[in-house]
Amino acid sequence: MLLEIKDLHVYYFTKRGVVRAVEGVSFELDRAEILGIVGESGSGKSTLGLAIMNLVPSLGKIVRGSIRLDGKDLTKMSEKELRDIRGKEIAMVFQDPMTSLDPLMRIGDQIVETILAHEDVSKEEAKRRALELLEEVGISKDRFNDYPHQLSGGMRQRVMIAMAISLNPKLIIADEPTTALDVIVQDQIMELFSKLRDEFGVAIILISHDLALELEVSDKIGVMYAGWLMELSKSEELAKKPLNPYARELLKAIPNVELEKQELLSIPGSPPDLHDPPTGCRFHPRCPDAMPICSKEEPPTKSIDGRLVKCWLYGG
Amino acid sequence: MSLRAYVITRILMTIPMILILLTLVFLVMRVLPGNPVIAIVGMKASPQYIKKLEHQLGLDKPLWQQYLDYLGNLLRGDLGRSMIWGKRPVIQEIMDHFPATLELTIGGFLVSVLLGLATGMLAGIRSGGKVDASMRIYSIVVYSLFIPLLGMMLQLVFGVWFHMLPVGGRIDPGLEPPTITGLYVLDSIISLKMDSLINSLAHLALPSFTLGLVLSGIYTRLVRSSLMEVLGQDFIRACKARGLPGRAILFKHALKNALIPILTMMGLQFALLLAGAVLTETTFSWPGMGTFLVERITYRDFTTIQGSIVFYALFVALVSLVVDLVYAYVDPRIRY
Repeated sequence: MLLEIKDLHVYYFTKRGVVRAVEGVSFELDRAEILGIVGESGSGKSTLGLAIMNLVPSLGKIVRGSIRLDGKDLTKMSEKELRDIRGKEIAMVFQDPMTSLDPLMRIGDQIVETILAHEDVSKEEAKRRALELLEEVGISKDRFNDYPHQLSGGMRQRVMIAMAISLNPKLIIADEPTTALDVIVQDQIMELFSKLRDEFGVAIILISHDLALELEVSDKIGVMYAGWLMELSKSEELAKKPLNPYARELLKAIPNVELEKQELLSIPGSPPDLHDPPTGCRFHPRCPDAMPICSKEEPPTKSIDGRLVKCWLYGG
Repeated sequence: MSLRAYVITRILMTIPMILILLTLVFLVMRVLPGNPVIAIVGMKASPQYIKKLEHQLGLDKPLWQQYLDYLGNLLRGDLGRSMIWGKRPVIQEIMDHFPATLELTIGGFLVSVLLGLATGMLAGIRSGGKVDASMRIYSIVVYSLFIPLLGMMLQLVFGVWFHMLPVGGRIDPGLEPPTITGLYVLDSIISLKMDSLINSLAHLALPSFTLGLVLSGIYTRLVRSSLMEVLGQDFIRACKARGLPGRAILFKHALKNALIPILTMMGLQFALLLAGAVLTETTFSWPGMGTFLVERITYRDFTTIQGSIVFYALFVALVSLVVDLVYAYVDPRIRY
């Protein structure tokens, strides 16, 4: 077991009150496994990603739960210990490659800097490795001295990935890595992720709002809604027979070019305000299968055939 | 575009800029009311004498001829001769006073930038806290200080009460280093005169601090807001996610990015300081351009005033050129 998250709660303490961005999320991740996390904007998926790195923005706090990487609890580590983990054991790739690189520093130097921050190697050695990494992600070596603004979005994201794999991390968290890129580049980046997993055995948490994309590359998928993990299943199983009504509605909403009907399906209503979430199940106001109990009590998370589902449909 | 191409373009662009500046100065001086000849000889001079003098000064030539003469003389570094006392060449008069002003300006500039950076960084890193609030109060308070009052208070404390620092002048008589650049501190270093160096630095201390403290408030505000903005950007979070040490993130990434908008401000401030150090110069009996120019304006010494304006214009053009080049060096996106 590489990563084990248990009962994670992340709250934001804002002036308007407490935002329960992530509540009671638990899952496990093995080496060389790709876990997709899907959900609408504001479902807490990005917060979850940042929480694993212990990098939630200043108003946020991990209030409960544990995050164990190889058995060590990241929530109990000092800032210094965390710094050694960040980049070295867990690396992160962000949504917007346009703004995730320092505009004033050559891309090669940024990779070198990352290597030198964690490993006691000479500058020359670090540079040699940086050049190799650029090649690895499909960027020609003579781009080493380029500044970020001289690269396209896709190339910048490749640089971010080169940086992410520069220290052979065990886990990469990719937060909407292709949302800002066009579809062709998106495919290339996803292929790159699959290759990294196959060649280096790195585990990947792929955060996205795009369920179709997740189904394509992920081994298993966690569906998040309003801070809750509604369902966690193997991708094929989820595609074939989703357990949670929210996951089912989400699947239905995937646009399909081969379908005769041109109509875009959506889930009626909008996600709740997490300052004041609905009582009972957070999805019940929009749920087609809602029962009387759904508006009164929070559903338990049940384990069914190795899948996790949080819904009253599967009993108390 | 490469850095080299940018540098060459920028330098070439300075030429028309300077030409426009010089033309403006020329036109303004002709449009100004008051006949310079009458200013020299007084109202009672005979018309023949005025004619003769106008001819001597070239004022009876057509305007375009005067304009070409003016540009030609400038190319030879000739700013004309003073109209009063000894009739010395204006460029010599300026060189007698300008280094003092430049030295004070550099001193004040360094103090203001260092103080402003330090206070602005403290405020920006801990924005919203007590330190931030104190730094913001600091910036307002120092900015609203009146230079002569502050100067006199410092003179009283450090000069009169504690006898630590001299209260006026550039250097004690007899200690002047040989003139190389005219900047006493620099000349002392070049000619390896330790006592001159210490003495001139001591004289520079109070006026520089007075000037620098008042101007540091602007930098405090600018650095604070700029740093806060940069610290909130994605790439800073990305740096943290890569496990870079906090110090490296702050100095190598955040501060460098935050300083870019401030660089422009520094250039503008430097030019303003050159012209605006009059109050400080007067307070500390500093023999610089400020006191000199005020004196010449009262005596209607037109050639000296015009020469000084031209000199300042050229110097400011040079400063802005330097700022732009530094800008391009720091920010690769600028080299358009």
